Amino acid sequence: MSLFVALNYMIYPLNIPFYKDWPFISILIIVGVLSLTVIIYYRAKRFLIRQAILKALVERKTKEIRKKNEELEKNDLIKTRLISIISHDIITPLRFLHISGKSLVEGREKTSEELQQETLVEIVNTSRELEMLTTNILNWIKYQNENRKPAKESFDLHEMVTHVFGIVSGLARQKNIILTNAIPVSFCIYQYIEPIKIIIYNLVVNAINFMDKGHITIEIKRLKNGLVIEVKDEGFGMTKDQISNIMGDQFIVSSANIDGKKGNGLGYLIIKDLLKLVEGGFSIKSAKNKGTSIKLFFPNT
Amino acid sequence: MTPCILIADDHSMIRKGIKLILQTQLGATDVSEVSNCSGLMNELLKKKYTHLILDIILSDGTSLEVIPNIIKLYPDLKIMVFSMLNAEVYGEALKQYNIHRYLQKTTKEEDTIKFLRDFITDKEINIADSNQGSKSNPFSSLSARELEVLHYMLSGNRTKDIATILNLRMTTVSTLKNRIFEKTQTSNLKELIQIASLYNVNY
Repeated sequence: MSLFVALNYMIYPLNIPFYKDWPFISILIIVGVLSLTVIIYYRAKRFLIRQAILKALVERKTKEIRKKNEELEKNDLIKTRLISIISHDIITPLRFLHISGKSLVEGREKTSEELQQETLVEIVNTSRELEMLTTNILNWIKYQNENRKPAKESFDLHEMVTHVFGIVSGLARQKNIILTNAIPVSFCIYQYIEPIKIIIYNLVVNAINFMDKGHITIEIKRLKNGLVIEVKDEGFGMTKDQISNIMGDQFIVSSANIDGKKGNGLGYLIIKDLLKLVEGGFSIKSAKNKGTSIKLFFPNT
Repeated sequence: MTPCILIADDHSMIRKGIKLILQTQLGATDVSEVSNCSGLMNELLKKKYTHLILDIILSDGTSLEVIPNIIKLYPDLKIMVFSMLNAEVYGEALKQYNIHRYLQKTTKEEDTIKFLRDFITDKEINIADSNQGSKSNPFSSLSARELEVLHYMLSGNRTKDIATILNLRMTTVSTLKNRIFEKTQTSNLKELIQIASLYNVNY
């Protein structure tokens, strides 16, 4: 009997109720701590997820801002470039166009027949060049706004190329360059007419500027998913560096300097911007002194 | 002595304009034209000229690269520089070659004619008078060499390309580039291009 009492005393030392018993309390504490940990854990997990989402959002926004910033910087540099083109290639020639014209009017008897003729030819050429350059600057500005995406329409490509050749025929004749429109007559396509015209115009002008004589040919090929227009010339050609300079997404448009010939780099800038707008592409193949072939791709959709 | 004049400019319209002024207003009949540096050197070799009207940017390089040679080979040739670029900057740099006649293309017509007349009649110029380069322009402290490098930097060439064009070592070009950034207080090419346009040093 005394053994039972002793045992009883060992298990329930002071006969306290079960809820005041130490195993029960410790279990209670453990359960409490565990549930607290679980709650904190889930809270933390939810917080971490939210944080990750926010971080992704911030990253996306930063990327967008950085892209916009790059675009702005590029435009800024192009504007700076345009300032120098306007001052060097427009204002200065215009001043001297005026000075020469005035000298011709006022000092006619003092000027030799030969110089008069020379000056008149120069005035004719310069005014044409100035018109072409300002048209191009206008083209570039016009398509800067991406919302101004043009609409596709049906048109006769053969006729359009004939029209472009008409604009530059005077220039080509001076240099004995033969322009060949190898696009079949009444070749109708459904495309962006204005951008394609500006691109072809710029490529033809480039070709004329960088060749002494020979042929410029424009061809077309229909593919399953789009159109390929090829502009071929027999000019001075381009070096690898020049091509990678054109293809690369460089901020600075360095003027092409081939055998002492100088361009203002505006042509390819416009071509690239317009191709981006109409989701097209282009490739250049060239050999020094053999000529250049430029393939333009315009997708159907 | 009748002046024998050579005009070096990359714009044919400008060459014709100057030629007309020289012939109709100033009575100079012996006027020739060239459009680039190599043509310039060839022409000087062929014929004895007394006066040279020189643009800075020519189609195959800048005349800053050939001026030292011209001066060495033709010490009697009188040179005047006629350019769109800022006189404060380039005029200052050219003084080290003892070229004190610098006419900006934006000068008024009457002043241009007067300047040309003074030039071909060899009127004495007051050196002190032409010495009014403003120190406020960040580019006016650049040397001729630095201006050459600046020109190629602004047209987008890399250090390697500039070294090839000017026949310098890469390290020399880098040093010159750093000095340009330092003197103009810019830290990158973008800033440099912007202030170059502002001060009309860019083309």
